[in-house]
Amino acid sequence: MPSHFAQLNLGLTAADLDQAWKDRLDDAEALVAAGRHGAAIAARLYAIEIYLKYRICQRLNLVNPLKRLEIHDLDALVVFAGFSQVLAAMPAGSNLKQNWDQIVTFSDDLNDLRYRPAARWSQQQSKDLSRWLDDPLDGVMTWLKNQK
Amino acid sequence: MAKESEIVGRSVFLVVGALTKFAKSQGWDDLDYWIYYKTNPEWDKVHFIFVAKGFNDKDPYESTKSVWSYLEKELSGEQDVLRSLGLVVRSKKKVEEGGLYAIGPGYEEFWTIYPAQTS
Repeated sequence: MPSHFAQLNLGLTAADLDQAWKDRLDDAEALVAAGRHGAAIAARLYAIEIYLKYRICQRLNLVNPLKRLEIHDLDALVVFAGFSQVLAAMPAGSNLKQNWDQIVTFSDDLNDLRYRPAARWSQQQSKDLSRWLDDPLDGVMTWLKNQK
Repeated sequence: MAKESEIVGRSVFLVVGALTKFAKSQGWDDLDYWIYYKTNPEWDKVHFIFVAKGFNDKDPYESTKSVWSYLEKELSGEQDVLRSLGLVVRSKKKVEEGGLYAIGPGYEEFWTIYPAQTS
């Protein structure tokens, strides 16, 4: 029997995760089009978290994700995905590092997105998060997708 | 190698000192800037949000670069501290806008000034 740390979530596969992060980004686009900016922001945060979990499966050659990594801590997920050293070695003030820090800082607020009224988040803020993630040069998702 | 908690504790101490020095170098009054932080000792990370009226209407990327540049000079002998550091620089205006730019509940304010004692 595997140790507590090595237990897998057999109800979920890496392929599910690979589809889910793309679906969350599609959800975000649909929500933006409907003017639901807070929900779009939440969907984008889910997407990066799920994408990192998918990359962990790839890195560890796992068909199912580890139960132990059913967490929301991006500092931890980026370590297990194998990207923390590359990230730490980047020039400190680089736009990519800044975008990463913005996302990590905001990811702490996921509960606000669940429980607070939608008027708290604006269209511009939704665009800002989208830029931090998907900017073709310095977006965090853009960068992650290019990492081997 | 230092223990995780030592690195995190030292980071808070040194980074707050350096950010305060940066603020002084800009000629800012103590009431015109704010330092918030959150520690993640399990992963040797400390996240700071440095807020100032002096960043109002300035390009956020350029403002952050100028703060990083200052920190890299001030803490050049403290590479482990710099590696542990997550830094977000915000204008006071942005923080007041709230939403994406609100200070999250996990962050503590580091008081650079203290209320006067009443007794």
